[in-house]
Amino acid sequence: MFTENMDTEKMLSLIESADIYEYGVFKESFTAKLNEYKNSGKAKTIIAAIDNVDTDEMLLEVLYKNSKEVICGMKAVANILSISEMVIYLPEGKDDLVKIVENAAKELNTEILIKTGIVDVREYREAFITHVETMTAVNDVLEGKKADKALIQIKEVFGDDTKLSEIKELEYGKAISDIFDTSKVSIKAVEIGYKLYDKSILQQPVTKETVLGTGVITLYDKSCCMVHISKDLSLKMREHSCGKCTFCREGFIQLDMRHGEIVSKKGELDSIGIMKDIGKAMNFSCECSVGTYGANDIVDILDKFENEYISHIKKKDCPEGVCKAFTNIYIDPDKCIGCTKCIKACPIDCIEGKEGYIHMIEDMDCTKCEECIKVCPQNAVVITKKRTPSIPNRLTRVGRFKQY
Amino acid sequence: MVEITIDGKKINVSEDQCVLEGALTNGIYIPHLCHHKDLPENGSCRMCIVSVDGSNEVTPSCKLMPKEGMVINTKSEKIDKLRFLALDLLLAGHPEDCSTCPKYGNCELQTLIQYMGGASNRMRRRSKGFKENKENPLIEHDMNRCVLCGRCVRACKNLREVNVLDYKKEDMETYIGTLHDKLLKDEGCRFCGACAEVCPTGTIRDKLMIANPDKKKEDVVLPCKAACPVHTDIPKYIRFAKAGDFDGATAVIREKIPFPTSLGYICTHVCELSCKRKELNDSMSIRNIKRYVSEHSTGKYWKEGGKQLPDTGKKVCIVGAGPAGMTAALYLRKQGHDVTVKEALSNAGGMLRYGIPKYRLPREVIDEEVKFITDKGVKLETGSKVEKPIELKNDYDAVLMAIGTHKGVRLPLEGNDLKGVLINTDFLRNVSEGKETNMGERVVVLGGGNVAFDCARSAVRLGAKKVSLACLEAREVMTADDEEIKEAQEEGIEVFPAKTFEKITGEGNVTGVDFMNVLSFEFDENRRAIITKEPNSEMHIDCDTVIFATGQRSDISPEAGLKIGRANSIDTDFETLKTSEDGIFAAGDTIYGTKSVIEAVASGRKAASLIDIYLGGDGDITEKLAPEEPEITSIGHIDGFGDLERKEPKIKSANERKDNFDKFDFGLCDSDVCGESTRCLQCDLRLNISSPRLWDEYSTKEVEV
Repeated sequence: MFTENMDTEKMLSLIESADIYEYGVFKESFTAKLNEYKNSGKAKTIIAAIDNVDTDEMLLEVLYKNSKEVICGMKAVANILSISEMVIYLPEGKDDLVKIVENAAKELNTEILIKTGIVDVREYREAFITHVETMTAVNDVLEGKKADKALIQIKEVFGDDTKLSEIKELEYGKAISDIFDTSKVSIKAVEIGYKLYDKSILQQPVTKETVLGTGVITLYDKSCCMVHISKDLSLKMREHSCGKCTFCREGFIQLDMRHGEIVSKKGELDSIGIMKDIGKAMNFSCECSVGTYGANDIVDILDKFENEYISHIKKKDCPEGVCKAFTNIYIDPDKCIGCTKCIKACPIDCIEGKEGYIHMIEDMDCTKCEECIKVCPQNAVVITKKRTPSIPNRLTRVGRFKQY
Repeated sequence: MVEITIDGKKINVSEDQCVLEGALTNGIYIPHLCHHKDLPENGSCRMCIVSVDGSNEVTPSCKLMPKEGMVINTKSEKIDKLRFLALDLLLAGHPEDCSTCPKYGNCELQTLIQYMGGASNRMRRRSKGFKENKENPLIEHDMNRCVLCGRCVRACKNLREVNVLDYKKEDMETYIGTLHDKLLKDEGCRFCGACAEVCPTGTIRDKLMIANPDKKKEDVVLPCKAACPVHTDIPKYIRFAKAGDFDGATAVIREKIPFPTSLGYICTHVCELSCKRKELNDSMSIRNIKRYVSEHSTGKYWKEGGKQLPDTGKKVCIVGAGPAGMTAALYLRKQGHDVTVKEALSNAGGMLRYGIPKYRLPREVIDEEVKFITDKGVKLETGSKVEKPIELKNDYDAVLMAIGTHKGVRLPLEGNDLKGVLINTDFLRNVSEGKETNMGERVVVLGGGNVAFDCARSAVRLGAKKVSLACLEAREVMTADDEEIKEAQEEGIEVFPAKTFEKITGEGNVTGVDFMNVLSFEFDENRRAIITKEPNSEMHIDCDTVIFATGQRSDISPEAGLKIGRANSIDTDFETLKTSEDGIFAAGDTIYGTKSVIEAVASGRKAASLIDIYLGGDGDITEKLAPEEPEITSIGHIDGFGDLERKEPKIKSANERKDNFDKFDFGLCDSDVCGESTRCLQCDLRLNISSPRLWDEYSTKEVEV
């Protein structure tokens, strides 16, 4: 820990010479920010948190491991700015982390207000809001260490599956590919800090100015349907938005609804343009990072993978076969033995039939959850992008169905 | 101040307020929705976007602070496009049909849509599916109409500091709710109405405003003041009372009423009947607060302060020293006129003294309030009955007839002239003067108003063994105050509502009264009573005394020289208060029949103003006595506010009070007056909230899309 008695001029000069940058999405010179607040003298509160937009929450690792360092960093900044109130915001439901931070504050004999949820930027208009990772960097600098690393995690997305790597420290100047083996994946797109890149970005050196956002680098595999990815991103942000800014609240609702239509085969072509308009406007029409950054990746997907949208909307085809609305499901009448296992497994009761009769899926109602596929002993349930062949349209005994 | 240019127009604006506010105060309209002059900025709706110094970037003008020389554009292709997008997004979750909304025609959002020339239909609309919430008193919520501008939250949190409303989210829909999703009352809401006031849509609605679309807003928002015949600033004096400044409180009342203590005892308090607090539990105890502050005032602010115009040399004679006459006398004196009051009886006060028994109104209270008026220079001549008012014109420039209604009505009823039949006015006057009343032991009072109860309760105090009271009206529509009826019954008086008076029995002396039950009682179009009796419902009460308390008339005859109107009133134009004789005015009960003291005060004030005009004055009798109140915006949170119970006065038990004419109601105690004052909703503060600025009020409107 840095010496409590260090005078603020000394602290300021140490921070200045280290030339730290803010972590998270708001990449800016921390020194410049600090001086700006020092000159205005308006801030009465310092708030440390992860970015509001951050739903990955990987960077909470900083607090799990280094709560004391974060608090010491905050104390230093508070001293420099003559601030008395210190607040740490944690996502909802992190009771364990609340305890950790409370204990750290107690050990340091420091009063910290712990709030949950996303930082209310309206309540704290004048406050000095900073990233928890930045605070450890400040602490490191004051302790005479270097602040030249960022925490990184890789998330690989294949179709519906995701895989998270371990969390590693990346030294500035090195590339992501220097510390992670990304060669095995066939990458369609890379997302860093709510922007989409091609895979060459992984070889480029990361500097302190690089916007790393949540620190999670997402690799989208070739098998991903980017429309579907975008739909999931919209929904996640729709749920995450606090709802106070019109563009964030209504924007994500529109993005979610329109994407919902497209992946359920009901898309309209004008949606692409309208969603781009909304997504781009959100970037400068919201008060915090949820609205300003949360739709950037969706806009990038709309721009870079417009062809996938057109496939879904015009050709009624999901090229990667991910969006189930574009597939057909049926029970092969030649394979079905009428065992009723699929009937019992179906969560929405849309399979018709009885013991000894060929079962039939009512495809208007079917959600394609594939539970029937899992239980069928004959592998008789078929899901395909091709047209459904001729199948029975009324109860037919096993073995009695003849194709015409 | 700095100079900025908006759309080519140079204006000077304060550096402390945002560009939007600067533009609006300088007559330049920029569309806006979440911005409200009295609230901190939200920056959420993005309707007020502008560009600065030729930049292509847009920024909301509510968050832009002006700098010297700034050049601002409020319109451009990009701005228009984004503004439309903002409006479209705002409306995506808002019902399309305005016509079913209770705020239709009064909706800020609706005018904004009109300004924008309508909204496009390119957003996916959705119905939020909230249930309308009408369970709260005074305020109703329909979150389907909410566009989440957040004004109500800021009004509740920042302006009023009540902290009841907040943003909530459920099933991916944001809405405004109470902190714990409980009813407003259970969250400590102060029901100040600020949320409903600032709501630009039909989401948070004032139930009374919706129910009274044709009334003036001020009257609906502040019904106590509207109901009071002299429009006393009730919430203001209650605030002074709460702060312990009883002089300030009394000064507020004294701005309108020269009899605050008397009225503190006996006012019919129509204010309390319309008090919005009764929707939460019970109305405010306004009369008792008035009494308390007035009895505890040292006279600071009002005794020496106030208006006194220089002498005009004009002479006014007022006939009758009741509340109407004395009120008119005081204000005419303050306008500089030489005022003489001629009173037929031996003391001033009119019905205050000769009608209302002293157990309800101690006489020293009247003495003191009359003295204040004579101290201001009003000449009072008692024992001076005016027979020929017209002759007064020889000595005076104007005359006011405020003779009241001192002659009781003897109903045309068999036996009405038997020995033992008394008349309310004579009876009460004799009681007041301590004279013989000729009352026996068993008394029946006929009538159901406050005067009838004054007679009955006086009879109890004079030692009558049994007192009954009967009236035509059913219990619910009896005109007497509820507390009068309740207290009378406590004192052993039997009350028989809905009875016809068939006849007074006896030969020579009264032996009783015959009654029948009333099935229905109404008035026809000629205001004649239509009574249906219940067959075979005859009832008889034995008694030796009957007191008629069935109305009062003015004691005046055509020989006085004035035209007599309905029910022996002085025929008077209600607008001008002029009688048939030029220069002679009339006011109070004598023109409209028996009403109340506060009505008489109102009539007296009106007469003073009109006579002042008649005598060449401006008729402005208003005066400012109370000290300036600091501007109040915050009222704070009070747990359990809605359940704070009405503080009741200390009252002697029936046994202690019924054998004497001593004061029995001691009003609120010292420890209760502040608590009772705290219960006030302070409805008036809402009227200080700035009105919305609508585009059609701006001369610079150019946009007609």
